[in-house]
Amino acid sequence: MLWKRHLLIFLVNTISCILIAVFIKTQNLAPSYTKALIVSLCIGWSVQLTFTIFSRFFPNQSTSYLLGLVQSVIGLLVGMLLGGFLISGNALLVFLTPYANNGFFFSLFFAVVGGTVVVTLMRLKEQKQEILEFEANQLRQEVTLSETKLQFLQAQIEPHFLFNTLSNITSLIPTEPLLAEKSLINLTGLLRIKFDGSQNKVSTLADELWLIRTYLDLHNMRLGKRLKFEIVINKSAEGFDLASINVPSLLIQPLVENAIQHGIEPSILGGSIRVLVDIESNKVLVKVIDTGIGIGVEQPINAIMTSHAGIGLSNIRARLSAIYGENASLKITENKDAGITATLIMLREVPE
Amino acid sequence: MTTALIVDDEPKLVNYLVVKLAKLWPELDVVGTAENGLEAVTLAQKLKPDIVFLDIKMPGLNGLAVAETLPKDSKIVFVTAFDQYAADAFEQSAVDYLLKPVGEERLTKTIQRLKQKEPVAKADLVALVKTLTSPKVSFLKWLRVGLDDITELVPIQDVVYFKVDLKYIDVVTQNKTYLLRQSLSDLESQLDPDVFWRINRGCIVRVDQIAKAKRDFRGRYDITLYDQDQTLRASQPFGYLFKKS
Repeated sequence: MLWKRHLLIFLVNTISCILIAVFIKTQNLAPSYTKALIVSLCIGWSVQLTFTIFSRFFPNQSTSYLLGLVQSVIGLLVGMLLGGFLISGNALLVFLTPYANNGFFFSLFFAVVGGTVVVTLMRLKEQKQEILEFEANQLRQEVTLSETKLQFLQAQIEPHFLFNTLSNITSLIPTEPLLAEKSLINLTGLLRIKFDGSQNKVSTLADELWLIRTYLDLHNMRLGKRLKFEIVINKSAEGFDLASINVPSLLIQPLVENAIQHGIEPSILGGSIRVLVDIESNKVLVKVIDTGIGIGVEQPINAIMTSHAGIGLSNIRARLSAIYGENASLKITENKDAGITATLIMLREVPE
Repeated sequence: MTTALIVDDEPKLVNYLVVKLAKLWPELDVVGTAENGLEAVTLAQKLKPDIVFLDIKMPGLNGLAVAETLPKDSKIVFVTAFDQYAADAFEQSAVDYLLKPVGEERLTKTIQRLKQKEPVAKADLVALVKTLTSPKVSFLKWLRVGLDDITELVPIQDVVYFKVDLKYIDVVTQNKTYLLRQSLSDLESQLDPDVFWRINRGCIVRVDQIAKAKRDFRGRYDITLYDQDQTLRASQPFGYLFKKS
């Protein structure tokens, strides 16, 4: 590959030198064709050699115009001295004879033009390579990103929650076996839905609210008096059969999960979570209001405490926009007194 | 008589450990229980227990931070639901730890070790806690953006790019543009440099949104983003970001 390129440059270079020699003789700037050719080739080849040597020592500078100029001039001088020596035995001939001045400036001109062309060609090539490599890097990043996403989806059950819940259930077995049984069945139901890979499934509002209640019940068992919660269906929504209203599955529950993880759990006193559901003519509105610690005062994350803060939200937003386009929104706002409110508005019908 | 303090933010788990310890180590006197880190520190100072069972993830002050405040002759047993790194670190440093749910077998082993062993040297413990809590610099997670009196919270990972627009910063997300009243340098210092790149004096872009970067002759890069019509330009001083390494 590389020697092919060098050979090509060598051929172009040699042909240019021949043409220049002919040109110089026709302008009567040289005593004979042979001598003009010898000097011309000496200069051309020495310039190319200089470029080759420089690229060895300055591999990263190959596209600097300044360095290109320096290389051209060095190659030119060496070539002129050598050429002068070859045609007359006097290396300084080209500088001394009457026709030398014009010849020198011509040579300088051609060397500089040639050098510039070479550098520009190299630059173009490098640019192409950079873009290609940048795209390759991007691709690698994307792959990593989708791997992370996959891991995240698989790990949608927060391990702390899972192990703490199991631990709580264990502790209930000797004293409150019935509650232990109920909790274990609830946890199983929750896990079944979560592991269903149900990202793109359609569920009903009734089912989603069952999921949320189950989830909050489990947390309530863990956190005791630190968590109060209620799920309120607005009066105006009472006329609707919640089991017949379709919503994307596992879209509301992550909002409640965020409220627990980032609002209630980090708070010593705990707080309450209110889930408000309202249905208007063609819209479903869900508000998740917590009285937890809110943002900004959250403890700095320790290395050992992996946090998925917010990843869930982006995921929800992406799904909303994929399913409803412009016809859905998710807003997160800070409450005046304490905590955060997530407001989810979507169409009553899930578009096909 | 050996005394112990049990700390966990989940009341049932405190009770469970109390019951199990009473069964497996009747001579142990559980002198107190605490449900958060601050309470634990106060109680430990007052009761001076020989052994502290410490949950790690707690509100207020986590178990690792509590451990640092305890007197150096305390024996500490960390109790954790899921902290993979911590468990590995404890294993290596001979600090006692229990995984939830705590089984009788494992608890018995821990009790035997507690009865024989000297407490782990305080210096070792402090070093261990340091490595576990070494503050991974925390970056901005939310932007408070707003018009008039309504403030909305925008998660930082929704931002495609920030661009200075007169006195404000345009926060461009996939669907919407918000205004932010802040200086770009202030903002930049709070962003994860692996995720957000400053590409010229007035613009910070999210790296994974960059579809293509094309260099021009002056070393500037024209940047095309995914799903955005606008192209951005990285000025020459920031061109190094796109150079192959």
